Amino acid sequence: MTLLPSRLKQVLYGTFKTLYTMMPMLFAVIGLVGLFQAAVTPKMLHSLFSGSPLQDTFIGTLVGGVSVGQPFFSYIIGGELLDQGISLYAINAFILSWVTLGILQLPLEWSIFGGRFTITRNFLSFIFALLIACVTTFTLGLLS
Amino acid sequence: MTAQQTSKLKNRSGWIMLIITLILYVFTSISDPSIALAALNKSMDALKMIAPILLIVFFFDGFVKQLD
Repeated sequence: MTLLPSRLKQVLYGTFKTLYTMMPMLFAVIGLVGLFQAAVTPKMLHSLFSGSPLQDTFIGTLVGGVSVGQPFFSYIIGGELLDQGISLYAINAFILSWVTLGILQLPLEWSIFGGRFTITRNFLSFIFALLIACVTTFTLGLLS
Repeated sequence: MTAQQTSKLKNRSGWIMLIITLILYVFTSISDPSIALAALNKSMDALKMIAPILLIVFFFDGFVKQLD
């Protein structure tokens, strides 16, 4: 049996180390997605997201802003929301603000980068999440 | 704050999130066990769907880090 090259071993070690680090958050998000699918009915979601592009985009941005985790978790949750019939405005805004906004992490960001930077960055992220979500959905509508 | 401290905080937030999820499952199983069971089944389906993709993503992430 040939031995694995040391480079490949290091890559595999790095892969499992990353997986191990992310495991708690991964299981938490997957557990929440399951609970969300089982307990939250489409009727409940439609009462939150009215179908109005502006309101959906705004709510999607706020929900994404308070959510914490790796960006790919937002794709899983966004996919579930899309399956439940939520508009692309809300899902685009949700994914964008998940990645760029960090309302819960504000104290951490403040302590590292300072208040002025944190407030300016988060304010601009909020505005641009709204804008980009609208423009993306509008462009997709034109292309399809 | 060093990168190591930031990484530790992120790791801790994962554990906190997992504990909150477990508490939610406990409450759900007390109030309605059928919903908790359905939620577990759906979580397993989601895990089966994304596990191969995650492995590939993390493998390439490790590969790129090795190249640096």
